[in-house]
Amino acid sequence: MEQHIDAMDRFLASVERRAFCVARIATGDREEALDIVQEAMLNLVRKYRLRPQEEWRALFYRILQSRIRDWRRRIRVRKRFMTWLNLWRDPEDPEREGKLEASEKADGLDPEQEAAQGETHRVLEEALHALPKRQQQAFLLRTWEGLDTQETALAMGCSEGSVKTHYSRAIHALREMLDSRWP
Amino acid sequence: MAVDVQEKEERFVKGIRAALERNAQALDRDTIRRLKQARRNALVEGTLMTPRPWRWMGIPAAGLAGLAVAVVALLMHFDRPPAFQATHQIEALEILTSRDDLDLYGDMEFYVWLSEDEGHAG
Repeated sequence: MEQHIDAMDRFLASVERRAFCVARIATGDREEALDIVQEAMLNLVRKYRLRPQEEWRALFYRILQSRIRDWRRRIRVRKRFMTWLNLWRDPEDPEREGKLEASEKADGLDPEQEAAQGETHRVLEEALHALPKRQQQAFLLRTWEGLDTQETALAMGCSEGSVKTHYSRAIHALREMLDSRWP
Repeated sequence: MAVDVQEKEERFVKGIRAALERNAQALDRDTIRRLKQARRNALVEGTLMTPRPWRWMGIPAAGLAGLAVAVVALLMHFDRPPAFQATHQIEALEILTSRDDLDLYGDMEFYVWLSEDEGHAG
């Protein structure tokens, strides 16, 4: 049993940084990303630690994507509620538009992070964040995590054909967005 | 020509991968610390909170406790040493020969029911 826990510890240590970066690209928020990674780790250990180790990677990213999806749903519900609340409180409020934009803008990195990362990283993360979600998932899982098409399909909960389509479109979209800004 | 396009695409993807990896390695100390903490928490909490089998069977905890008491009582009944049995018989005799109103003992069931009923109402 201890060996199993050690193996799980090593596995989580090998994926935690990338998982955080994936979650941060998806949410644009460091704290949300940390919460999502924590939940994904807990879920994997609780429900799947006895599965064969070769399945852990795909399972972990499946859980991670699921948590990211839950986060997006919560944000959508929150936005709708805030929109309704702002309309109800004072439809004539001249600052309402600004408030809405502020609540919608969940995609900015804080100034300290921007300075540390530099222009290249900022440009890259902005481009990845702007991708349609399925393309973003397929690209990061295939390119960065090194999952093959089958594993990516399992992580995304879709067919291998869909993975290939999303991946191909992601590359095309990134090339257009990055173009001259990419070294 | 097609090879060129493919090579260009591979170089492009490789460049992005390298940039993402550099980004991941350059995380600030606080984030790294919190990720380690998250990992430790997951390993501790994830292995502690294993569901108990009786939950899957749909048996509530109170029912299980009651069943356990009944089983223990039954075992004690059958395992009672002779001395205990004799004491029990003497107690019964004392009740029967006491000057107390035996009606009280007949009403015992009623009082037990009443106390249970008050407990539910409360």
